[in-house]
Amino acid sequence: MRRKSQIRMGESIAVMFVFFLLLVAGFIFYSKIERRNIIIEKEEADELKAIEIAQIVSFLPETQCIKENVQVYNCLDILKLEALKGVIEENRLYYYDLLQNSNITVKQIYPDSTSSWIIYNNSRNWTKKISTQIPVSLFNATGDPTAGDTGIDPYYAFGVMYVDVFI
Amino acid sequence: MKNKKSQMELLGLAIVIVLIAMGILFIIRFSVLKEPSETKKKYTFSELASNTVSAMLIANSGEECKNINIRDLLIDCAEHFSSNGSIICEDGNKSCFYVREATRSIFNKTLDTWNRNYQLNVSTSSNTVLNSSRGSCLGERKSSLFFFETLEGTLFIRLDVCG
Repeated sequence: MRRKSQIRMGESIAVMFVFFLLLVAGFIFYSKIERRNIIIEKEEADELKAIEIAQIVSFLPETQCIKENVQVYNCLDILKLEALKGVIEENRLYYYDLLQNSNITVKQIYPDSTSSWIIYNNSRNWTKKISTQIPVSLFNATGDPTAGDTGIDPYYAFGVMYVDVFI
Repeated sequence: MKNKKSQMELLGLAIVIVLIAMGILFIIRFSVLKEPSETKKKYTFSELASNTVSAMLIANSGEECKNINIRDLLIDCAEHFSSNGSIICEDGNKSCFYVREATRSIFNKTLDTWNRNYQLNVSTSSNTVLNSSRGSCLGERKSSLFFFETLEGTLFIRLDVCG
């Protein structure tokens, strides 16, 4: 009788031991899978952040072309770009909230590729850089007849806006 | 009786193991093998074609060709296709030649540099004014289509950026 109960107790202990072993193995397996999922979600969140900043820059009222009170789609005004850097320097905190750790550069590609503007430059210690290129029109209003006759025609150029977000 | 009881117990154990195995299979299929979604790639891909064409068409040629924009040069080329265009640029080249070189220059510095395959087709119902491409376009593609009225009918400008 005594031996039988001892055997039963031994069986119960063995079952519990195996059960806890399986529990620990399952937990380790689950945590490894979750770790991978969290890394994937973080990468997606980083990409969404980069897209958000690219969108903010694309539609900044401080750079948009206005023609007869109507906003021109996908167009940056060169004169505003040249003024913007100074505005950003004076209001650094406000623009940091919008643009965070990023570099924003606009380069003219056509008809000539000599001009470029660094609008915003704020890169601290970073481990990852996400770059986005957005083709844009660049409008030079110098000589616009509505602003006075200077003999120079206004023109649209083809440019690219480079948005580098640092994470 | 004892035999049947132990057989039933073993069957129950086997069912539990099968259920656990199926559960692990589902976890592996939907969690471990889950592909990361390419959000940024989809976003830039979707905007690239339309942004490129819309910016290119209104770009002025500056001193190179009397400050005429690319759209008007393409229209002139389409309307006078047989003579290579009626507008003569500062270097003596006609509008058709100039616009081909200009678009090649633009794509060289943009889509080619970014390793994007594309197909640009500018045509009317009777002529193909401009045809430019890079690489093959077999997979997913995003298109941007613009059209303008000319004396030779509707001019279609289509850019396909390939995924």
